[in-house]
Amino acid sequence: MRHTSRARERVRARARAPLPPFPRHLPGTLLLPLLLSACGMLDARLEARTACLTLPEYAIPGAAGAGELSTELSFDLGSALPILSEPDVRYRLRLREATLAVASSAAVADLGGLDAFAVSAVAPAGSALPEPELVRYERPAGGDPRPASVTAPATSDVDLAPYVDAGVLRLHAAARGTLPPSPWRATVTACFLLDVDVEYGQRL
Amino acid sequence: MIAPFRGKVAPVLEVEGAYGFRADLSFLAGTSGIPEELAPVLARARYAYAAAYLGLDVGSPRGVSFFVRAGLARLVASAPGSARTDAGAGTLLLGDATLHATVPSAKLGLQLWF
Repeated sequence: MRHTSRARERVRARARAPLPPFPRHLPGTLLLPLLLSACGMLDARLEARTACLTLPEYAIPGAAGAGELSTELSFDLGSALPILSEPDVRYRLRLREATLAVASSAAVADLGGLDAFAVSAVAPAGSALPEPELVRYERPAGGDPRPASVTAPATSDVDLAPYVDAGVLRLHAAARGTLPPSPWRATVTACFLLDVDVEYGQRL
Repeated sequence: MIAPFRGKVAPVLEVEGAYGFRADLSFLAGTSGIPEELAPVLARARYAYAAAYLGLDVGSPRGVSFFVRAGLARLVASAPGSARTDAGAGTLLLGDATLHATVPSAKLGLQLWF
């Protein structure tokens, strides 16, 4: 009985005890992340080593008389990666390699007649940007005489982000060799290195 | 965890870290600048993180107390592999991604000391 009454007294004493004072540091503690974000400490960076955009059944024009052809390739990055069009997103885009493969419906059986091809950047209209060569392929001596596809490795490390206009990256491809005089179809794949930076400070 | 004072209301500094050998981070896709197309790749990610918090413990330091903490977390996640999705007239293969992020972090909870 004595224990029970003491326990009740303790419970009543606790109930009468004043509540702990409001923690004055609480607002500051909760506001700390916001203050730090204002200083630009909050960010996110994504690096994708594989970002390959494939255009199937791309129409390649017939070669001119000297066995040379020239065409423009358009990659709609804005549709493929909508995040790149967001206002507080900055990114760097570098072409790692480009692959040309005979499409299943192509009139040509292989790329054995292709001696070389190169891809360069196309500056947006009205821009003074240079148009550097990005990748180059030269047929290796002793290689497969009838390859179904060829891959051109990068020859430069140019950031292509300034070349993206309204979400579209335009590249110029030039090839030479014993090429079909009539149009044919190919699968074109461009593989990029993509770095995306987001600054949270602008989002908060 | 460092608590310089003991009382009903005590400020606390806490540091924690972890490494995950395989975690499903697909919930990050579509946020924080991470393309939604990476969701299948992020479902099998490795990550390491470290976080530092400042906060308060309210309650008994020998019994039950409520805590609230806020701070910063640094996350490094790598997602090997790739995923293919339709992209307009073509296809997009995206993967082999590494994410570095410094993000705000907060914790609320109850703790029992015994």
